Amino acid sequence: MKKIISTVMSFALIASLAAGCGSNENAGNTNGQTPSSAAASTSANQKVNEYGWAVPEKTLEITAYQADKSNPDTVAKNTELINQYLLEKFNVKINKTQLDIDPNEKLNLMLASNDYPDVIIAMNDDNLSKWKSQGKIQELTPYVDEVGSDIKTALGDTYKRYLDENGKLYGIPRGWGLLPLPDRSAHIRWDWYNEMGSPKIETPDDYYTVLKKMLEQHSRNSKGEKAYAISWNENCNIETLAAIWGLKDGYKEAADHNLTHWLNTPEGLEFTKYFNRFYREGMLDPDAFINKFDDWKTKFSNERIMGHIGNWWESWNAGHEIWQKSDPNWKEDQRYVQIKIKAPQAENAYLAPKDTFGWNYTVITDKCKDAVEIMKFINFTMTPIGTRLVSWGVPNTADSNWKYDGDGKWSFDETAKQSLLSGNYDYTKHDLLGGSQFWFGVQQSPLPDDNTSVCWYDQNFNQDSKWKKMFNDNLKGTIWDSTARRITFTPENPLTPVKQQIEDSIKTGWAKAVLSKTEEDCTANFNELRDKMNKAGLHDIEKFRTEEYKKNLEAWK
Amino acid sequence: MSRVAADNILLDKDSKNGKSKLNLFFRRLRRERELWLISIPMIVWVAIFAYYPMYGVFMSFVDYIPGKEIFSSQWVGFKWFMEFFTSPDFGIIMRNTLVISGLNLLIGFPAPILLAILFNEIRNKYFKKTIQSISYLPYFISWVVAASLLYSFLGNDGILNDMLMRLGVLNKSVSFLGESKYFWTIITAANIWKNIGWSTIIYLSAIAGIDEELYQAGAVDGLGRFGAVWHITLPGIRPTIILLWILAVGGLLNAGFEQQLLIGNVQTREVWDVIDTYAYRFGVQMGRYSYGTAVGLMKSVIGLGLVLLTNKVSKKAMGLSII
Repeated sequence: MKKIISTVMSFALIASLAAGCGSNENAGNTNGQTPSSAAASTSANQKVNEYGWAVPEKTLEITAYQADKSNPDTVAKNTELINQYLLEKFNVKINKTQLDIDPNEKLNLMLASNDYPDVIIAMNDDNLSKWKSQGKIQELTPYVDEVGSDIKTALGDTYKRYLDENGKLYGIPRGWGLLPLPDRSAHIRWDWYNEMGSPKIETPDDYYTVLKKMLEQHSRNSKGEKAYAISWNENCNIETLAAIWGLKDGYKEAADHNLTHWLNTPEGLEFTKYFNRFYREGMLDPDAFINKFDDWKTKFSNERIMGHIGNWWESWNAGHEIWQKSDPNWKEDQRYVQIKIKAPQAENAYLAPKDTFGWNYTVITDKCKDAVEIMKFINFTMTPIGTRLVSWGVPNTADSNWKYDGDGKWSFDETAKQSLLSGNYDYTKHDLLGGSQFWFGVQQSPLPDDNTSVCWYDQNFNQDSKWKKMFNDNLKGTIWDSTARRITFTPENPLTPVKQQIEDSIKTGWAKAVLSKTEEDCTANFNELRDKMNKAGLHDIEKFRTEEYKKNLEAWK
Repeated sequence: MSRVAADNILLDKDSKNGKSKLNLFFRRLRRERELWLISIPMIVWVAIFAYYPMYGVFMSFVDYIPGKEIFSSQWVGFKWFMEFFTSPDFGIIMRNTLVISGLNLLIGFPAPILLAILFNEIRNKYFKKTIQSISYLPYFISWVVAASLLYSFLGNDGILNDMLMRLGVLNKSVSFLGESKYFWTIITAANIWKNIGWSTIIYLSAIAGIDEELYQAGAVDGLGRFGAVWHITLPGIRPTIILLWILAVGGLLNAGFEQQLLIGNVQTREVWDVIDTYAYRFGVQMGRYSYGTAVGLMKSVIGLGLVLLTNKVSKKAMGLSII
């Protein structure tokens, strides 16, 4: 029986391989053309759609795995409409899977089992180098040369940055370019702040003083639960805190570009003592380092937290976006507003590092037999109109974000825009349009045809939206280009496990220092952590980062 | 003369004749052929799912990269083992593993025996069945739910802190889940709570196998309820206790996995990180399969050694063994 099953399975496998990975055999296709040539050729009767896409005669089918953690059911729901649209207008069918598990584990399992799809979206540097070294991904340079002129145009001079030492391209970058918008900041409960007469907040001490007074006035919420000045969840980002003291990405940079980890700087001790003071005075949530994300969000929405230091959307999601749905008496200024604070001696608050290189890559695996056709579609998604389609979702429906009239003529949908400006934009409903689901090579920087529109729909109206404008104005000067700081720790690098050990220990040790009962204990715990980490190899990490950083600076001059 | 005795005589003869024990094995195989036939599916299952995958332990001696053939990977000998032994976390990981599993063994092992005896002493049949069923329930609750219950109960805003503050025992809440000193107690209690009921089943069935006449004879001799437990019940289930003890000692380095990841947090990492969580984080998550396999293999070898040692001690001291 086993033999029969094995034989049948082997035949099935061989048959599926023989069928190729990228196209559906169309019963109507009797001219003997290969899928590649059918779509590549621009025969006289080949239709060109309103986006300028030469619709292939046979459906171009792309199987892809996106290496970002997400709920598969939500992804399936949010890709349904755009998939129908792409099939109808482009004759392209994308079967994308995304899973709710660690993508690194999934990619490793794919490699080990030799079972993976045509395209992998969102592959990081480490995995790209691993897959490349084993010949599991295809070199893309010839395909880009052949059908990727828009990719080259979009990337411009930076295209060569993505080529390896042999001048070969293996991954299409995603999330490249500079989005000149701030993201990380200090936050403050705005209506309560106004009640206090909006006192000046420029330095960490100002922030502390305002929060202390605010807490005195709102020490308990309406349910009688204790409130706190600030809180975090288990994903507290220490680098953002260090940025207020002038450090970039957690490192202090000397004039000769040598990097020193915050733990080895006086600023590190200073900001640790600053937050320790919050703890000692009962202003820091004692669960700040153990809150699960949902618990933390609940504390926020239950009005138990006055301020926050982190990404701008965190207090939006946990604050007014919940209140406006749950509280019929919600007023517009019952929200958190993002503000800049900077330590007096710091040169600047480098709160928003921007890596213009991109987040990760889209790769085409060796399983794919139709790479040219797929590259054609990736190329389309990197044109300005293609970017709009895959970023803002399906146009011209009652709920659409935008309208498209063909021949490159487009406009924002006024209803969607107004709902965004009035704060009533329903993100869940608009997610169904499929925006951002097929970002193969999306750019963060403004699109070149108008130099204003960007891939995130809601970020297009920052200057029109009162609150977004306020936040952008408040955080002017916090953005810095962190591209050269992009340093990869590959699994083969002996410093990789050292880095992991150090990061784990720092999270534990820093929490201990902040939660110390006295300032002396805080200093002692900080020093103990610093010595322990240096002994564990932190200086080696600093040295490696410095060397790589200098190499990048040199290479990308 | 019995067949076994006849076989033994034959074995002596075979040995004297220079023949191997193989003949005896085949003779026995033929004699017990029905039993072996019935066992074939199990043997095949064990061979496929338990032995065949063991070739993967070879990975711990090579520099395996996912996607490459294990046997064509570069041989590195004991490199990964040495890396683990010299890792700065090694001491902490081993300490946590031994303490947590030691506590589970010392407290968690006798707890179901005691509970099973208590269940056995309950005279009301319906009450006994009901509480037995209730005691099994935690076993079926996932660690995700159990951890969430623990957070509700032991968190800073949890029921326990609230109760203690209302009673005036505490002035301010205690971070039971955030302070390292409470972690081992909490995880041991959680492990016992989850498994105690389920683990009583095997002891209850062993107790049910004790001849009722022994209790009647004991009563005639003047044994009270405690006397009956001490002189009849406990000796009656001794082989079961020893068997399970030997197996439990083999799992001394299995200190848990999900419960650590779910109940543990950044503040308590230095007391919850055990071999399995470490192998997962530094092996699987970082794509360093060889390293993770080496750590796992080391754990298995030590576990096997402990089973053999305990078995030997048990055999010598009490005449009971599993091998």
